[in-house]
Amino acid sequence: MKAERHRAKAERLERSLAKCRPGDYEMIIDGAMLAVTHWINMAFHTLALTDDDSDVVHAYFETAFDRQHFGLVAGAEFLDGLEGIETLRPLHARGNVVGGEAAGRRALDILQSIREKALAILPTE
Amino acid sequence: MKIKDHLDKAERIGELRNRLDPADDYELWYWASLNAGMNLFNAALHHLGATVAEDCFAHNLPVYIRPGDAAGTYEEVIRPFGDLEHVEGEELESLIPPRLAIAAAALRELEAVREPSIRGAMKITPALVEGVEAAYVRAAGVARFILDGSAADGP
Repeated sequence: MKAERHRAKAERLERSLAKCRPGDYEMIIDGAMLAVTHWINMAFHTLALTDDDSDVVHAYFETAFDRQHFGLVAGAEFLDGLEGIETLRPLHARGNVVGGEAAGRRALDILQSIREKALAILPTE
Repeated sequence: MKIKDHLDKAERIGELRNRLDPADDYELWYWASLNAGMNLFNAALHHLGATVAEDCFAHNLPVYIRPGDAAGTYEEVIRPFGDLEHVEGEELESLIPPRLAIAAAALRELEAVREPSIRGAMKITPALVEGVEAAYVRAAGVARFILDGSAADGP
């Protein structure tokens, strides 16, 4: 999918996340993960790191080689951030470990940092 | 998780689902539909004894995350099938009792549009939304019927 479509998807998800309450932490965590993947794909397509038909889905799907490559070109923060949210999912989105609301806040913090980093990659007009 | 925890999640996620607009918030509304449906489905599988109800959380099956005794600790473990993440693959599908076949088919309908409509460019149309709604209602209805035995909650 083209970079601009990824951005539109990320922004739609963020508008929906704004309707969530702290107690909706399962969908906050998962929604943030989805939005982060779209920001990452927007950034990587823009940098020609990945083709339009080759999207990052999960950090753990990427090879060590690709993660090193992506990190050197775009910054390790992108996949590190995605991995950070993915670590929260089994415990809080699919599990019942205490601290779900704090985990949701952490996911939104990661989303904000990834969004800012992705937008900084876009060429200035 | 235990059945009660699945039902608690399904109720809270379902409440969020009702607050979202199926068209404007399609992506999160869809995700809430799939997650609420899977929680009810897992609860029904546990109820029928098809899968194990324990505090081990799905993470790329058969790997589960098991919380440690100390707060904030956990370990990755391989466990017998407990909570399912998706209804796909021969090994998992062989676990599903016939009484849940309709719910499983409805969840597979939901899964079929997951990648194209959430991560891809599939157009969000009224027909897509109606299909997701119908599949969710069917999956949730069958699972609740199994759990409650209430005909009013059946499909």
